[in-house]
Amino acid sequence: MVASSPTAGSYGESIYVSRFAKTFPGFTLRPTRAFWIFVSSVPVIGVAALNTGNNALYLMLSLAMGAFVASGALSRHTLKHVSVRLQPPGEVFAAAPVHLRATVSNSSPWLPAAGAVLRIEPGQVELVAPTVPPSSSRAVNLPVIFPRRGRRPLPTVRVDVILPLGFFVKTLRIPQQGEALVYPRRFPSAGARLVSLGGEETERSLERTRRGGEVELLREFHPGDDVRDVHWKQTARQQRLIVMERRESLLPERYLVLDRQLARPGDALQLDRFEDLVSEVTTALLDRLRRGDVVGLVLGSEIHVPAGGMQQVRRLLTRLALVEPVALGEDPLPSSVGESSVYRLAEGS
Amino acid sequence: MNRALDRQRWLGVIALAVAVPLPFTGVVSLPFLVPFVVVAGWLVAARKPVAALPVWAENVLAPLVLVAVVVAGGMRYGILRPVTQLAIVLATIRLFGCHDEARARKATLLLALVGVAGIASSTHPLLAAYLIGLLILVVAVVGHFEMAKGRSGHGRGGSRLWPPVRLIVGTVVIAVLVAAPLFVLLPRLRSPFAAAAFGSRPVSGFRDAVALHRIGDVKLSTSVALRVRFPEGTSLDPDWLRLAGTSLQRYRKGVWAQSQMRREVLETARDGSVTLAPAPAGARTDRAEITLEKRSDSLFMPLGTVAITVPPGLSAWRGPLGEIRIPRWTDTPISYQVEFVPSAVVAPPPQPGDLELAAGTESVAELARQVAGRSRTPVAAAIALESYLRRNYTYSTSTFAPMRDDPVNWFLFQKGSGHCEFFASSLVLMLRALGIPTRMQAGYAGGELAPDGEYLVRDAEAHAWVVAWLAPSWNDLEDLRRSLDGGGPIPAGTWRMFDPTPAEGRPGIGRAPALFRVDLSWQRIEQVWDRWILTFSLADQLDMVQALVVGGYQVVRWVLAVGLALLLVFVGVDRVRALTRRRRRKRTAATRTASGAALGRVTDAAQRSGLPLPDSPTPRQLAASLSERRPDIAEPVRWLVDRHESEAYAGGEASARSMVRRAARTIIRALGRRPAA
Repeated sequence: MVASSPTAGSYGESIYVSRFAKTFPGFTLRPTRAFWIFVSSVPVIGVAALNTGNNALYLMLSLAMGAFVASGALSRHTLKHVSVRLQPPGEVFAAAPVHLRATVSNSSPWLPAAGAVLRIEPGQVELVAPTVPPSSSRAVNLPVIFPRRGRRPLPTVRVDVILPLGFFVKTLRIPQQGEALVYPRRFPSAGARLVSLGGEETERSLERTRRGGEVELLREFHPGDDVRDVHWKQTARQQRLIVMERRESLLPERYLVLDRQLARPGDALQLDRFEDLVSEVTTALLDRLRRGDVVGLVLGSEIHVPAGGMQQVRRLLTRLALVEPVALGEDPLPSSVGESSVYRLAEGS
Repeated sequence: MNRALDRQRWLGVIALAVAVPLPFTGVVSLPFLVPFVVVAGWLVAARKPVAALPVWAENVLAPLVLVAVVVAGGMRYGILRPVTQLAIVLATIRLFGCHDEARARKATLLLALVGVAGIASSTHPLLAAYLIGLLILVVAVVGHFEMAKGRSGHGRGGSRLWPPVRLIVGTVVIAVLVAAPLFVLLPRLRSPFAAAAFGSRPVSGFRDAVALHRIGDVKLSTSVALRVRFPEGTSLDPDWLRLAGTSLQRYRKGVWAQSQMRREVLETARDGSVTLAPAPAGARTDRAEITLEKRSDSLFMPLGTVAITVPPGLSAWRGPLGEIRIPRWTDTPISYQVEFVPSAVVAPPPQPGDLELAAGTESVAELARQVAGRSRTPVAAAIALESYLRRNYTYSTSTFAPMRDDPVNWFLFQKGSGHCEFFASSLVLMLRALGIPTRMQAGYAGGELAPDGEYLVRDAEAHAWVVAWLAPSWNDLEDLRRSLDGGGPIPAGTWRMFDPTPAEGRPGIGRAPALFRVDLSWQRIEQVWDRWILTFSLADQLDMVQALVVGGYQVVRWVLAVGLALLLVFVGVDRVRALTRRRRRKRTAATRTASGAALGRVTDAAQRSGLPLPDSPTPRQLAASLSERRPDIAEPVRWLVDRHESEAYAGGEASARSMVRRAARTIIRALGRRPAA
């Protein structure tokens, strides 16, 4: 995802860069190989012209220097008139690639912005923006990864311009207004195993006791289906494994519990573990809510009643995105929540 | 498209672009150029990357390349040609396998070298268009590769792989706008030089000045020197469209010197006309309008010119041989009209100098006598000599006489070929040897007839011929010689023109091409190009600086003058306003009474104390208002108002100032206090 480019470079690495930035605030520039070739060849042509008095050489020299100025002026013009605005998507999960919609606008009344390279700092992705006609805008999707959950400011966009003649890479940083609410990282769903808070009864065993309900449809067996759901008569008739799908008349209400209390809230290991827990709760929550279950959430003393649907998903994900650890005793868990089943993540899951 | 193939293809295109000027400059000979173009074309057309030559093949080719360069002339024509030929062969070899980035870089370097050599050797005006085209190509290719690099490196990006046209156009326009002043400002420390094909031939249009001693250059120049129009038509024989600028009399050590003596300032009539010589009796005269397009130190006129009308203000004088001279720095074009006798020569009478023979021309005289033989008249002898030279000598523009030999002797007895100056000089000396007064004339002969009836006379029509004074018999010539020696009357005779140059060296009348206007416009471009690009020099830069200084001085002077005038106007207006103000103030002061002034002070005090008063109250309004609000001061106020009205409007006696002052002081003090409850 993170790509290095020949035009990418650390800033302030050269004295001339910082000097230039001071002299011409707003953008930085870095000479390319073409610049050095130009700088070394122009004096040679100049000396040849001076020595021979050949006006054709003078003409070429003048045009070369004119092209140099034109390149600088036009790339500066392009950079001056380019702006980029990022729009965060509705759902962003930490450590997962997401496409930010970047609207590249060109306010120049006559010059199209061509060959501009967009980068998300710090060095995440590089993308050549499409040519933006004068006084118009174009949208592109920039793949980005937010490493951590929470409210995160939108990343700064770097615009590199090298055209028309590529003597310099001119760079403009465009900080973005606004922030993105980044949901916790998701794990593979098979990794989360739940146990009841009241004892060692697992979710699986609870499911077993509640097996039953009306058969809704018959379908082909998929790996992972319970063998007890195999409809043997149909299997024998169709010569392939057929399973029954049942619909329970009453969906069970479940709570997922996240204990915010840490013995040492400043400890990096414990914080990492807490982040993992948040991610696991998020994973389990999404898994069940998207299966159609009704799930509630217990965050310390804060109780979100079980519900289903997208609203519940957003509500709980938002809460999980913003949850912070606390010290022991600051926010104890309730022992039970009404008559509903309350689960916690099993050890080692 | 595969990036390597793309690189190969575009390098091929650049190689072809670099090769464009090479066939026209002669900096590379065809055996070197053809393989280069073939390989470049192959690279452009190939659908697969072309492999590099094996290393052993390159090693074998290396010495062969050197041998080829040496065989093709080596350093014989200067350094530029062998270096370019070497570079083009190496570039041809390096173009193989240029899909590889490293090889492509080396090939690009060699192509740049070849390109610079081609440009440095070009003198044609199309060089400007070529450079702009090359810049467009470079901008497009650089943009293409940069945009393709961004896309291929990350698998996504813009779909367009070419920079927009506006970006290319903008780059070129700005580059040209910046390049123009840079070209003017870059210092020229050497004389202008343009490499030519094979480094030795003169370049067409390169020389600006008409210099007959370097006629080889002039003969290649197509610059328009003169325009001639006959507004009333003419019966002029085409062979007689000759416009003489200079008559030359003195020949010393191979050089024709122009006489600087006896200058006669032209005394023009009110309309600018000058009669130069009386027209021969009964001769018909024609009129011609001539425009001098190039700077010159003389006005060119038909041989039979009897009158000239010069533009007003033109400084001109007449030389001893009838030529009209002007300062060389006179700005062109200069238009003038002449009246002339067609197919005749009108010149001042013979002078002793027309018979002068320099030392060392005895053999020329001997040859003249041999050729003239027993000619019965001077005319027959002159015609015989003219025919002899035309028949027995060949015309060549690339003849330069050795410095130690007399050019005429060398031409007549050794070389046997030369340009018109050699022929004319020989005939002059040979005719003088026979006692015939003769002069050499230099100017233009022939021209190009444009569709609008105008004759265009170009540099290439520069020519030299002979005018000889021919008497009816040899005895008359003896009489003339005695007259010139003793100052007696000059016997009858006429001037006649002889042109000993063979037909191939005699300019004639030509027809303008079908696309005459286009051709003419192109020639103007060529002239501008030659003058302001190819031959632009330090002298021109200094001229520009001088013009700027003079112009700046004029501007500063103008600004100072205008500023001074404005300052004077401003001061004058200010003084007038001040005077007016002072008078008005005096008048006001004269009409103002002490009680009126006191009322003014009272009004101010009342306004300061916060009493509601109307804006600009009249004395009565003031009195009414104060009496109503402050009854304690009603009496002095009323008294003051009465006094004021009496003095100002009723012609009353002026009150004692002390009383007025006291009343005003009482009122103002009372206004400063709170009113009594």
